[in-house]
Amino acid sequence: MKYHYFNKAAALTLLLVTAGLVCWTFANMNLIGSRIDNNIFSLLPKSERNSVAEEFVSRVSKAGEQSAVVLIGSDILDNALAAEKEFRSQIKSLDLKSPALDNSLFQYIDILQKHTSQLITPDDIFLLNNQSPDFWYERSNALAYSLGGSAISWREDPFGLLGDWLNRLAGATKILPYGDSLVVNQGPISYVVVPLDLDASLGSIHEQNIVADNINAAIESTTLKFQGIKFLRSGVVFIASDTSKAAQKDISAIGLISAMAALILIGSIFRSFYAIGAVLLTVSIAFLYAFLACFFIFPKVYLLTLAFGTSLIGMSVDYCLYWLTGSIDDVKSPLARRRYLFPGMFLALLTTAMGYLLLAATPFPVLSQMAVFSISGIVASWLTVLCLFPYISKLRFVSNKTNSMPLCIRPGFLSEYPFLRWLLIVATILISIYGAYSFRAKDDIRSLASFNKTLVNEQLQVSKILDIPSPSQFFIVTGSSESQVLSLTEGLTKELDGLISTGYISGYQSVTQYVPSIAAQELAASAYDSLNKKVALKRVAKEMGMDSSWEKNQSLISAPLTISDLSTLPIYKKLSYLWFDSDPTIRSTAILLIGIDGQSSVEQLSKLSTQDIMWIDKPQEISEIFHRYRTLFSYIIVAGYLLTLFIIYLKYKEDSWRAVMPPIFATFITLAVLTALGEPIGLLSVIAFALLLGVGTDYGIFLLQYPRDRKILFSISIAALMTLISFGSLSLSSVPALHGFGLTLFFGIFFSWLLAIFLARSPDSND
Amino acid sequence: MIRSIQKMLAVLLVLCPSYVFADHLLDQIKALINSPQIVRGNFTQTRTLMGVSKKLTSDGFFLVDKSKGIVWVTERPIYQALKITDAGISIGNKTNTLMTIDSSNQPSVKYINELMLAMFSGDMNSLERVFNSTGEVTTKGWVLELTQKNPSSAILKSVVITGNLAISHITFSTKEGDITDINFTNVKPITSLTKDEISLFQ
Repeated sequence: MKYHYFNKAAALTLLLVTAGLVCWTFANMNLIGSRIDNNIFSLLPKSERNSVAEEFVSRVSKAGEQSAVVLIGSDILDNALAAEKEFRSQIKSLDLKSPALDNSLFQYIDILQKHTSQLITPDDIFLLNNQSPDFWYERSNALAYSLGGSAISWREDPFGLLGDWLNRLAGATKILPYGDSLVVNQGPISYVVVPLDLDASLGSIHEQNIVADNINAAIESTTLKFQGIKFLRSGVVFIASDTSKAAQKDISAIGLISAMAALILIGSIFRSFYAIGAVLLTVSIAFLYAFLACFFIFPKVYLLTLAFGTSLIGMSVDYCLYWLTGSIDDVKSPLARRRYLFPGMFLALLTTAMGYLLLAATPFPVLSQMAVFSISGIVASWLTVLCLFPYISKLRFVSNKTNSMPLCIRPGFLSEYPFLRWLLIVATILISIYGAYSFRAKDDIRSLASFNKTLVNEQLQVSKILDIPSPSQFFIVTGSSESQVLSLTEGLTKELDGLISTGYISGYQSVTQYVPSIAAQELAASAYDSLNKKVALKRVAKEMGMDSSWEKNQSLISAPLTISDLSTLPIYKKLSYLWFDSDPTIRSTAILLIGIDGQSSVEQLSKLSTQDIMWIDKPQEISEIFHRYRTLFSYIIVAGYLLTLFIIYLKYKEDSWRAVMPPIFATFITLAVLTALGEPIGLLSVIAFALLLGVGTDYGIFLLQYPRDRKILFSISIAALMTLISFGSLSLSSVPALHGFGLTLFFGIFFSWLLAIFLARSPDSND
Repeated sequence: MIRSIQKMLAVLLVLCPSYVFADHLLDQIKALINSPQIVRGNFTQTRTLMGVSKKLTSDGFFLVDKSKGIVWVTERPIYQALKITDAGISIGNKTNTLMTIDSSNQPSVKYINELMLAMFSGDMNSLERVFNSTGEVTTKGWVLELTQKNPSSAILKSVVITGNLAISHITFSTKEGDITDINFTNVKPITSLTKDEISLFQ
């Protein structure tokens, strides 16, 4: 009696909690929508090595999300400028801000003027040390009598030293203000640069798509209006919107195929709306819990998780099937049936959850989220079946033609032809060996996601035209003080200057371009103090009628410029981007590289790393992580099989191999099939094998637990078919990771199922 | 509603008198001046530099060749040649190069060249892109005052050009308070450069 109450209480609790969660979900639809994320950077694994590098990458990705650049190119500048006007007027409704131009030039000069003696170009240092006073006198005169004007008055910079320093700095950017526009020239083509500030306007995927769609439409219509105009886009928003659309298409296609297949299967087998209703209820509850678990555990729910999550349909239908087929022509009471099914279903849940747990152990945020999604979903559907199904009285079915059909499948088939059986076993072993030795591994970041080629291409062109440094390959210099870091950095930039002259890179961005090291500033100061200049200054002062205080001022050695001197300027934003001082005892800076030219450049650059200068190569690092985890997972799978074998052995003793061998063989045969299909084996395939360990052993466990129950054989076959459809449709995904994962499981599950039945004990045998 | 307000604003903008005037002005000046390929002339320049009591007066000659650039040769009180070409800007005297800005390191040189060419050869289209303009045309000639469109990063506060068939006077005022006055005489189109003149561009 007590037992009975407990069951009812459990069922009621599940119902009430679920109903509560449904209400909460409907009430918070907006909040939920805003937390779905399609940020492509979220696919990147967390770095295990350098927190500064990680911080830098996150700064880059944050800035990348919030800005976009559109270039309008033409061989006639006027056309490009006119197209810009048209384009801007078309995107007016988006209310995007163009980032304010840096108007702080004069403010910047004011600060630099306090450090005149410290800021001298290497060329001028050489001239100060080597040219006669006559030269400097003439140069000062020439500047005084020259045409037009300069940003710094002659009185403040009579020899044009600071002017040269500023010119050198300004030369670092190719973008020029041109009237109201920004222009950059690349050979015969002039590009008008339209930077766009997306800031807070991209709260959700929906908003992101609106922005991207509008910009794309404006580009299209402007291109039609102006001849010979070429638009180039760069920005996370374009790629993210494109991938999220692809993922959404995937979700609806995969979801539709899985759901339709499930409904058709259930409908034709059980011929009951109650059966269909029960399955729909289970799948819905599974999705609700799966989604909410991710929602509450993770700050963002990735769109890719949802795409992957559609495979949950197949998994959760499985548990329904065990129950539903179990109730065909069944005379047991529902609670007795539950007692009967519980051991098999419990082991099945345990092994499947274990497979997904391995997925959670990776450093890839999106993969661990997929694991949480799947585990929560299958646990919820498992609980639904076991707690609620016993109380749905209409879930009783009689056998019909359709559900009798699979009864012709016999466990341990071909047992009457021992020779044929042995032949098949030998063939299985041979194919497995081929699979084990022939597969081609691929640990490439591109195996995780692929992006629209046109967009990636445009992005690359924009980076080249605007000299945008690489966000994934750079140096991090670390030291205990600002001056130490600056001097180390300057040492590195000297080496980089060498690589520029040999063509390995085309440029770099370094904080020392703005704030030279103390040593470099001292060198400048001593040149500033040279006799050549002193003598010339005396003559210039006399010639121009300048007073003695001016002469004294122009000889003064000023204090060195430091990074904090610039902290009030907009330019500091750019510097602080490269500068890390959150830790009071450590200072670090990133040195960014422009125009890295292939693998040979990477080799040259990586040679420059020392103890304090770290070469960061993100793609390489990711490939290494992929490789490491692929290897690690292979070992984990082996350990997993041993553990599973142990658990199963406790219950089924010497028959245990019949449950464990099918997925093992299936793994190797799948390797062979994928190799034959030309599919490389990446981390995701190996993770799929880990999952196969969980799902594939289920079939064997059920056959061992219920050896003479033909309905169980029937239900695992339908379950396998359902899972096959689920993962088969996942293999249609445009995301390489999901495609590879789906394809691997498709073959893996098919062979596991086939082999589980083949290797099962024949019901007729007496041993 | 918002659309119709925008439309009205657009109509107002088009009807705004100063806008029409400016457009009209540049067209009028364009019609007045010659814009030959090569121009030669003499100049007298007076500079008043902020914080310098001495008035710096100099004279010399200049060449503007639309295909090559500008050479500005000061002959008195000191000899120096300022060269603005696509390749860069340089200042030199008879013996030394005193200062250079290479356009390969400093892309803005190309624009400085273009703008100077536009000012000296009266290319109104180029000027229009970068400057806002006001001024007037009388029977005696025309006055054009240019201010940079983006004033906050502008080095030049204003440029005032007066002329008739050719440019006769320019005043540059910088933000720092330096004023450069240039009077032109003998400004004439020429058909080709002499050997000596060509060498000045090199």
